[in-house]
Amino acid sequence: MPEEAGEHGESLIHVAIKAEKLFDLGPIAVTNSMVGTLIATVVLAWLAWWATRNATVVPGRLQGFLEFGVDFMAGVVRGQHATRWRAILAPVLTIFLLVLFANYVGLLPGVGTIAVNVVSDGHTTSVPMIRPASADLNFTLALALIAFVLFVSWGIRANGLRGYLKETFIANPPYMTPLMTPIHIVSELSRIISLSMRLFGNIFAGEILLAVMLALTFVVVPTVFLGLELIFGAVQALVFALLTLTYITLATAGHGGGHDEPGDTPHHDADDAALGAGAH
Amino acid sequence: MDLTQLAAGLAIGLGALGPGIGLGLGVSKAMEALGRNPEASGAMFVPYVLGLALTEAVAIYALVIGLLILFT
Amino acid sequence: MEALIKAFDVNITGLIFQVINFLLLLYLLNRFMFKPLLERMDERSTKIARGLEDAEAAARDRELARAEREAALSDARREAAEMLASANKIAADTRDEILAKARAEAEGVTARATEEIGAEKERAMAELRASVADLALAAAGKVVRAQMDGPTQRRLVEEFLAEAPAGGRAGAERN
Repeated sequence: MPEEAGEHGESLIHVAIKAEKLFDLGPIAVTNSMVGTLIATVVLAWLAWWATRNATVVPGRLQGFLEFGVDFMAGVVRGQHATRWRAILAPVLTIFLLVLFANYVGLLPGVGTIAVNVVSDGHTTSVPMIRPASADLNFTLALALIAFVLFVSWGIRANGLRGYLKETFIANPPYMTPLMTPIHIVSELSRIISLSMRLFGNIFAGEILLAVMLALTFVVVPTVFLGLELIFGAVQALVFALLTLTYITLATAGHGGGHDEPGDTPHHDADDAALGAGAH
Repeated sequence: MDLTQLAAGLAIGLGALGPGIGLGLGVSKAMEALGRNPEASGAMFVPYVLGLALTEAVAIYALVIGLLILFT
Repeated sequence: MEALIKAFDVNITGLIFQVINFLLLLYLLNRFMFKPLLERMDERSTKIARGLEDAEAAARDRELARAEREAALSDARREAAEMLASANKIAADTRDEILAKARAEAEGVTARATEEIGAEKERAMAELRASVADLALAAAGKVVRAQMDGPTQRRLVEEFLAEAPAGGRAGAERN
């Protein structure tokens, strides 16, 4: 990043808050974050195929490691959804793995530093070829929308369409509806924003942090922050997956108490669930 | 020096203040609980991580606002 | 909101690409990773459960066998003790019997011997009495005969005296 940013003379660090277009593929503008997404996806799919192409009862190292992850998540999901855990596990686990690998793409050497020249509007700019997918709001927003669709559909499946609509749009007691319903709707919708912004902010900030450290200091310091980002990447992936699971749990739990208080912040639901998640 | 940059810096700086204190409190309580009852670490882990993530989200909002100020 | 979308360059192409990518990955992972892994894990857990069950059954069997062995051993021990006791009792009984018999026999022998001795004595006394009478008669005859000459008489008396001790002693004993 630093060297190619230097030639513009604006700042020592190249900071782009959005994904940049690499080239046009028909009507689709291929951005560098799409490349990052594809790398994460391909690596993940290959790993899945390679690790389990001859899955054995006594696991090898890689299989054991993957099983540890799958088993942990399965345990958490099973703890909250005793009967339908298998159907919920797959998307939650996919979210976790995809986010994890998308985060880690940003830590690979060459990502963000290998640049290509792109001609747009007549003048040439140099653009990093690969951008970690999680540092693109399109990616995180898409995942958040998927999570939203997931917990809404699970809510409908658990309570029926009527039950779900009643749950969402009619407060308890009914005379509170004018006050509560907007809050509830905002609360549901704000989950999309908070999910996507949290992941985006963390990873983007991590990228900037790494770039700043690389620009300002010597070899050892960025390494420390690289290790830190390794932890944050895993934690954020876990958080995204667990929050999705928690929202699904809240949606399927049906009419529970706890969020009837007016004037709640939109996050109160999630907070409750977070505190109760491990207790079941 | 542009006022925009000052605003962005203040946004993330002040916005990180609260979550910093909150994270400290949360982790301190979690460690205390862990010290009292080490067997509960498994049950604590998921709520712990979620709680930290929700606290940290506030700082992330500040960061996003800061970035918005800076880039729009 | 407008500014937000513009600043972060949220566009429908990117969103659709990411959603399609996610769904594809969901299918692939489910097909190639979660399903086989969960199957293997299920298999393993059932296998382990079965193994544990087997181990438990084996332990139960072992315990049972041990109890059986112990019971057999204690039975044998008790039987041996019983046998020993009965053997001891029999031995004691036999000894007593033999002793009693021996005592009775010994008594019988003694009695018979005493009886025999008594009979012998009677007979000896009767013989003695007869021989004393004979002796007296003989002595009387000799005395009568010795009156004819002195030296002869003298010799006779000496003869008698030489013969006498047995009869005399016998006679003295009897008194």
